[in-house]
Amino acid sequence: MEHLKLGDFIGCTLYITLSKERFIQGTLVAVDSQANLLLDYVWERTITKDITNAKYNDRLMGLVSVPSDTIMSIKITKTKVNKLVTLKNEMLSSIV
Amino acid sequence: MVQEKLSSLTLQEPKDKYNEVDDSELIEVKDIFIQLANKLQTKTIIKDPNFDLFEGTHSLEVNNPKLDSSLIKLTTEEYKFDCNIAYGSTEETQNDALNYVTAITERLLRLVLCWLNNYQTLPTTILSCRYVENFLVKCSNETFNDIHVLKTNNVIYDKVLNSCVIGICYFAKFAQDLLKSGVIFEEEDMNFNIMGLGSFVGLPDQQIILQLLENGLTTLKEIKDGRTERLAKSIELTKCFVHMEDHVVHFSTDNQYLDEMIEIAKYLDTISTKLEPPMGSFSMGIQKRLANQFPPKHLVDPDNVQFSGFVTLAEHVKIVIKVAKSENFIEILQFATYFNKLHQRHVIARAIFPLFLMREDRTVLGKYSLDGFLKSHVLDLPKNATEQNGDVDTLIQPILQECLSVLFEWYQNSSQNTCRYRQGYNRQLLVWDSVQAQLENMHSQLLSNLQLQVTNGQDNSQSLDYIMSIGAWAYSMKITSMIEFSLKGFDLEIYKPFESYSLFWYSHYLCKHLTNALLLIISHIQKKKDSISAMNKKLKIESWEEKGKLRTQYHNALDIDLPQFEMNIAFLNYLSKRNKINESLCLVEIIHFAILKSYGIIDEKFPAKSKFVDDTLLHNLRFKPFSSIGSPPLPEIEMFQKSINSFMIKAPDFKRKLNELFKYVNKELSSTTEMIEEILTSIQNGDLKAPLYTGTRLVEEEAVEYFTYLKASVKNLENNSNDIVNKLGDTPSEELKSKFKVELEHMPGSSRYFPILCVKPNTPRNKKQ
Repeated sequence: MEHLKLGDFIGCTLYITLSKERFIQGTLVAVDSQANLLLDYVWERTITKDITNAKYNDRLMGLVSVPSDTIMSIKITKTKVNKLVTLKNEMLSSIV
Repeated sequence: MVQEKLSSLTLQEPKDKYNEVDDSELIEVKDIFIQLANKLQTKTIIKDPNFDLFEGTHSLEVNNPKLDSSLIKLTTEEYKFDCNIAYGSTEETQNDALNYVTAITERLLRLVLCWLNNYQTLPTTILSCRYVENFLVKCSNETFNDIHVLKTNNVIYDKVLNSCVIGICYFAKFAQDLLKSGVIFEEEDMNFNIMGLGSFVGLPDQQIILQLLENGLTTLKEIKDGRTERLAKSIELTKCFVHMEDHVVHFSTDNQYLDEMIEIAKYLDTISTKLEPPMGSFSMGIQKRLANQFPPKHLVDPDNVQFSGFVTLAEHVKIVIKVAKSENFIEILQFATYFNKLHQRHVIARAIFPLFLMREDRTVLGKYSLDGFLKSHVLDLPKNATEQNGDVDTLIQPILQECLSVLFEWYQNSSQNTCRYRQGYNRQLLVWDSVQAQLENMHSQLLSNLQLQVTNGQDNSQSLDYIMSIGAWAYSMKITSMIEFSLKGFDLEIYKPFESYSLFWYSHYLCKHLTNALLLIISHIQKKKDSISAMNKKLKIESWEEKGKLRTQYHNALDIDLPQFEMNIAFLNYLSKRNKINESLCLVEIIHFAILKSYGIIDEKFPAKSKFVDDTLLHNLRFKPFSSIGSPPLPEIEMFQKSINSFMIKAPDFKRKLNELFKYVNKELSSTTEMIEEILTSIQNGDLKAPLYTGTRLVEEEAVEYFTYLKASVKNLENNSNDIVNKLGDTPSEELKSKFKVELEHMPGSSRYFPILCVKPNTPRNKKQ
């Protein structure tokens, strides 16, 4: 992954954990130097727990900005990362 | 190959659900993101090339309480609220169920008013009701098949409240259909943020819903409790909503349910006892739970909303469907001109109007063919013009289609909200111009080449005349649109006082052109009337064989065309008078401006100094909508500047010249009053036999009000002449420039197209500005 730059992740679906009860996933459209993210087509999942069970609520939120300090984790699928790495390597080799 | 792979990495398609991905399939990249971001320069933003950062300003920021609807805090009652519990029906609170349901339905109905009459959003009004949310969530599911959604085992909830909720959702669906038909607009006319619940797939038919409501009423009758009457009224009111679509679906002219709506709304307003719905039954929760691309919004408080808002809705729909009583096209035209002119009608009424008038079966009001309706607007065409001009018709069919679409746009525009109305004219005038230009081209081609071979006994002059008639009509429509567009800007208060001169001068210039265009049409009709009389003379000298044919023609012309032409001339006389009134009022405004400029307290030039703005740039921007119009041509800025000088008063003898100018103004205004009076008399006396035909029978009240407002404007302008002298004296001085300023003032009860140029003291605060 060492060759990847932030720009390579633009267009990727990010799976973000905001808290133990709140997750969002969406397409990365912009990112700044503080790693604040702007995601589009965002879906949110919140989990409410009572004594017996946990309830999910999924909903569409659209265009969402995610300040860096609100993020617990950012994940991306392995398949996507592999694709990005392969592509990057091919691009670099074609330049050489 | 790299290119292919790159293209596969473009922005992903929107997903329709939250994607379940196993955690083992994911890689944590937060640290990588932070490391890579740290390497960027502080102000760098990396973005998708197709993404506009301006759009990013509309994004919702997570964990920001003002923007993040997930952070909305709900009360315990809101969390625990369950639509399948019959609140108020426990042993101790047995009697509260009826009050609770009454309170819910009444609140819901008031929220409908907040949504429609006060332009509030759906999530803060009817969607805040848990029962509405509950129904719509279920109804959006394709497998939904049981409309008895509530299962509380209490009939007041399960039958009565359920029917009311479904009825209101049905009405919401109707409102959505109106929006989809493009006759009104999202946000500016009505908010329809339905939070992903807008499919209404499981919503039953009107008849089923009416039956549900009827069953609800029967249920209430079976309950022996005097309080049921109040709840029954809400259910009956809901029935009226469900019927609202009849005007668009069945083109019903039945007023009965609208009268009922008025009666019920008035009754409900007489009840002063306030009932509280169960805690948590209205909540912001839907903004937190469902698809939401907007920041959190507090619920609208409907407690002070009067049911009389429904009276407005019903009255306005009643006005709109009155158009069905029109007896000729002039009445339709005049109906469209006045019904929404002074007061913006209710959004539902405005949306119903174009759909009720111009129907899907390609008729107007179900009685005029599109072609016939279009041609009836061309006032100098005889009624049988279609038959007479068959060949030319084929040739100009594409232009006629364009005419028809712009005419329909004109009608549709008449019911638009006050701001959209002006924009509509902006769009139209280019089409009118194009239509007129095409017709003129065709006319000159026919004239010079004589290409057309008329086979059915007509000569070319008739064909040329036919094209010219349509062209003259398109021209008059174009200028009318231009005048309306220009003067509407005063109503919308988009002009600064210094601009008013240019706009009034240009409107006056357009009025002059319209006068000529209308006179030309009148003279065309007069010629045709004369040719009918000439047929009688011809009859006397024709042979016996020809006589029979000619006699039939003559009688047809006498019975059909002549009365039509006479009515059209009378209508054109009215149009000319109305135009003359506008022309005179514009002239007076111009003179007032010139007088004030003579005192040195206003100038038509841009008042502020800026190296980025000059008067020519401003002029070009101001008149940009007219810049491509060929006829009448837009005068150069120099012409505007030159003309104001001709009206200005210069020393010596300022006082005498001023008095003379005011005398002229008063004369102009008194002849304007006479013209207004003449039109008013004509409107009020039912004007078929008068020299003027206003065609305002169906909108008499609105037309009378319109001209009464104009009369008030005349009075205001008259008073303003005195006010100018009283405040500024009869000699200009340098001192006045700093002491006074000019503002455009709209006086109540007068036409907003003609605000007065009011002299106001220039306070220090104003000086600063």
